Amino acid sequence: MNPNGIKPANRLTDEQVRRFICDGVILLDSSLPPEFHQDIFEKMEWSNKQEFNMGNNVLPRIAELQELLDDPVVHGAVQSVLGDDYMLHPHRYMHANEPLAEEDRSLELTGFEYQPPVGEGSTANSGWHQDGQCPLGRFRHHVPRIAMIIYFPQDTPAVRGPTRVIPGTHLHALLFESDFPYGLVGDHIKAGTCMLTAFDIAHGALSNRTDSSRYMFKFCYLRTRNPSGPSWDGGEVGWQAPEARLAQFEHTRAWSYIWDWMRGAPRFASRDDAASSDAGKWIAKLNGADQKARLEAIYELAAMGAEAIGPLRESLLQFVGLGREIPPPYDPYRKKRDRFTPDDEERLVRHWNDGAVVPQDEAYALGAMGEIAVQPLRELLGHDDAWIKINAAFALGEIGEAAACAMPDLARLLSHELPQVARASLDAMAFIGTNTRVALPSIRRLLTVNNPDWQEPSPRAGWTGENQARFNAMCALLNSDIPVEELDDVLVASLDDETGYVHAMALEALTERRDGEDRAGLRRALDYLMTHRWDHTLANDFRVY
Amino acid sequence: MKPAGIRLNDEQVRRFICDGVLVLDSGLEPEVHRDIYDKIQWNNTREFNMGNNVLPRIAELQQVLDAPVIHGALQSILGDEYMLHPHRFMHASEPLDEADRDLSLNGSEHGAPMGKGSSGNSCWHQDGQIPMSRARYHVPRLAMILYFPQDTPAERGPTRVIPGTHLQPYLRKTDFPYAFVGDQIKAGTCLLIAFDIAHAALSNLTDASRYMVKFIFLRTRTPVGPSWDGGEVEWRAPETRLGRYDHTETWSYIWDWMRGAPRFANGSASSSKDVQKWMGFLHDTDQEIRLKAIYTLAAMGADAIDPLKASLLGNAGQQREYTCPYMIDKSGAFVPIGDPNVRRWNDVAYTLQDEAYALGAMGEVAVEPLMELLGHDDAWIRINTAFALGEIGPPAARAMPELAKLLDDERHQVARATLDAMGCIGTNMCAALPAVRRVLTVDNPAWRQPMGSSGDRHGEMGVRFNALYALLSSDVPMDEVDDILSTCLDDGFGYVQAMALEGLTRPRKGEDRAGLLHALDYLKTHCWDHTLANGQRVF
Repeated sequence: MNPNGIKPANRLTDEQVRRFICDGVILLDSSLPPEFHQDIFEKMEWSNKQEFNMGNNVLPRIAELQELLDDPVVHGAVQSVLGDDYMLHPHRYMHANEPLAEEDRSLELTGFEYQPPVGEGSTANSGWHQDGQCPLGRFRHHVPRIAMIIYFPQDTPAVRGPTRVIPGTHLHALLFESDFPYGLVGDHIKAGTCMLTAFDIAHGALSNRTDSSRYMFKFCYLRTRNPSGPSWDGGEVGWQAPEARLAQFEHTRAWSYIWDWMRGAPRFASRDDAASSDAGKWIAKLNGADQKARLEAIYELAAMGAEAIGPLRESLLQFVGLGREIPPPYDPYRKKRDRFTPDDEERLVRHWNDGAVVPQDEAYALGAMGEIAVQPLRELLGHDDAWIKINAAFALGEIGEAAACAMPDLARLLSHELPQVARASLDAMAFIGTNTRVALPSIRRLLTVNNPDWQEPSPRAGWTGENQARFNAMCALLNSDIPVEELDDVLVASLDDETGYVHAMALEALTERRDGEDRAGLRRALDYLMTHRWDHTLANDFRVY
Repeated sequence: MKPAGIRLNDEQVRRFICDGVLVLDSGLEPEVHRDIYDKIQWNNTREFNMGNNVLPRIAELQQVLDAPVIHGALQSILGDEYMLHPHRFMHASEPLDEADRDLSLNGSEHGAPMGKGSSGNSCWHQDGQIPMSRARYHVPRLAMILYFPQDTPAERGPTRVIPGTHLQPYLRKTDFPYAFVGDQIKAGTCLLIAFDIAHAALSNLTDASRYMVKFIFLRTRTPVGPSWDGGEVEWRAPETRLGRYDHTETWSYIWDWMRGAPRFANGSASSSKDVQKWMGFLHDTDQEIRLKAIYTLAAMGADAIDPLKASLLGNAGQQREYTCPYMIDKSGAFVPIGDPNVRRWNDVAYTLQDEAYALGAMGEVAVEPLMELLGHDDAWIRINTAFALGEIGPPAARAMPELAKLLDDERHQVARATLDAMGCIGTNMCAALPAVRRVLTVDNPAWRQPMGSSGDRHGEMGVRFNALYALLSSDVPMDEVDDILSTCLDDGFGYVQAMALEGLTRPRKGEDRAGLLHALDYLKTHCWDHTLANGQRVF
């Protein structure tokens, strides 16, 4: 069904997948010739200097980029991490890192700085950060549901300011100053290099001390199917650490869980030791500042199973009534202030966030536990408190197919007065991926009837809660087991939605290959048109992403 | 996937034939036009004029193109299977400086002053073909929609036209006083115009920008019957018309052609046998007598063939296959150097010898005599001969193998004219398919020399555009050319890609799934031509 299947792909090896799990980053050398990258660089320079940064529309503007995305090395790596049926996310962005003024270029840098200076006209962010979802927040998952390709069309030695990353931070709920010295500054980034990164990894630009622009293209990808087996060359054996890794952190419990999930093995198949039975001890470490301790606790409690459910439930319910489903007032200056000190208790508070949402650690643990947690979570879904509903929905999504029986409960939440609850429920539906038909009438209504309660634009990106709910609804449909033929009417209606992201998702499904529609010319035309699709709902100085 | 068109009536078609212009109300809600106006303003003042890419940039424009009044009018004039040409352009006419606005204008001015930042041309002109010249036809093979998203009273500078000039090979100053300046142009009005009509922008004396978006459409099928509501009766003049001249013989020929009736069904023009007399009026500077001569000779048939051939051959050896030089006059207009009435190749749009129009209108009887000229040494003769065979249409199908030989011509001009003739004939295309395939897939170095007058363009771009036009207008099942069309998506030139997409995405048997067709419509509207760039070439 998916055209991904017919493109040649060089799959990753076990060692590469292990490193990706630990570090959240691997470097890839696309196999295209130097002239290709030179051409992209020149076209980008033209567009950025003589036109404007076209944001999401960079692909139709410089359609040659599709060759990079189709490169067997890039395509095979994305398949290895996100499954054969991955899709390109409608958000893309070219980050320009312009040269510093000549007199400033003698700057000495370790590479670990927070927000080193960038040249005038730069669109890259040099402060260490984990990306928000575009345009509005979705969850930070531990298993790879989203990944990014970061492409450099020019040689980018350290002095030209490559994107820096902090390996291992993709599993972290937040960043601390103490993480910065573990930043990785690639010094051998040749034109054509791509970084495959986990979506949630900490990263930042670095000052460009040369005399020519540095461009970096970011493409986001979405997984659309839960793994039923490994999608890379390997995955036959249980977890073992990679021969080399970059990350300072040791998160063996989490890594081995992710490895088993990715290869479609039973949960905790790689574990050969008995889980602890002291739930209370581990619960105390949840949601804390110590990332190693919290991750260990999450997966220890998950492995404990039934015995941990009661304590996890009790622990989660302590957040009732705190209003955590509401994002704190948006303060664009907040990020400029000292936000990385470990003793700032306020930073540890989990709450809804229109950048990206980190749920309570109890929800990660219940989600990793699997089928046994489904019934207790369904009960929590009916709780009065919206933050509890949101966390329960997240956990059900992480359980995946085994939570299919929760679909009717999730469907009821699609008319909740808070779009946050509906968004969390839709994402849970997307990750469960089966039995979606029972929710179809609710999803259809959400996509075609405006909800007057959801019309408040977010200060972050101008989108309303409804806009993002519809994007998530499209994810739920695209990931589902409903034959796409049955969705044509709602997909066609979605082409008139006010946001281009929804159009993009609808097109993805409408153009998917179906029986009897395998004419080569049609497929080629569709590929061409999808690459060249201009999102006319985006405009310069307004919002191009 | 468009809603059913509201077809034109006989009176409207008659007026279009005579005047080359109809004023249409697109019938959409005022908010649609307001929204489009605001978006154009944003784009033009904060981004840049995106030329051909105006449709993906402001995709709401598709609603205007799909409006039943507009779609139906285009079907009426160009046939049900018309297609949108890849060239589009938004023409801005910006307000004059406040100090200059008390100007008194009668509407006939050549080069009326335009506000700073305008992209409309206020000099009277007939459009050239984009990106490369093609022939000026008398029958409607192309037409344009000029859409006004704002109220455009005369003082805001609507596009002016000179009715009837679409049949002329060039303009003279004496045409200008016959200008038509619409004074009732409300937001949402479209002018449906013949491609070759004289037109110009007019000064904007208000304080708001005037935008006009131009779309071009191509006929892809020779008429087999009327495509409007009517066409049952013989030609008669419309109740009212705007044009200066009476071209009854020409109008009546076009009317019959459009309704798929036998040539000269009226029979009125064939009474005179005075061939020499009418030969003497070909290329006359008086347009009324010149057009009367062309269609009178055509109606005479066999008797006129030899004199027409002999007269045509009188143009051999004069290097007319080379484009005429141009200068820019003091008003900023491009004007050809030399006698404008001398016909020759032209890199903007070319008018053929009047003999070729006459032989083309004559029909089947002229096919054999014309085929004898296809091998002539002189390229201008080959070009005129190919054109005339194209105008004969399907009855010239047997010339297809001979025409195919001209696709190896050392001059791309000959290949371009030949390919257009093939498209106009439209049948027996399989005889030319190997040659058409070759021009689309194998580079010809002789055709790739940059053309001094047109920047980075070269002749092969025009060859390939016309080759795809020929395929799309032909009887070759698209299934058989999928591979060629797919290859064309990698062509370096976006127009070629656009034409190939047209062929690749046409609905076929078993591919009528509504969702797929909807997705294809959407994608074509939103298709961005990445081969165009600001400051370089956006059209």
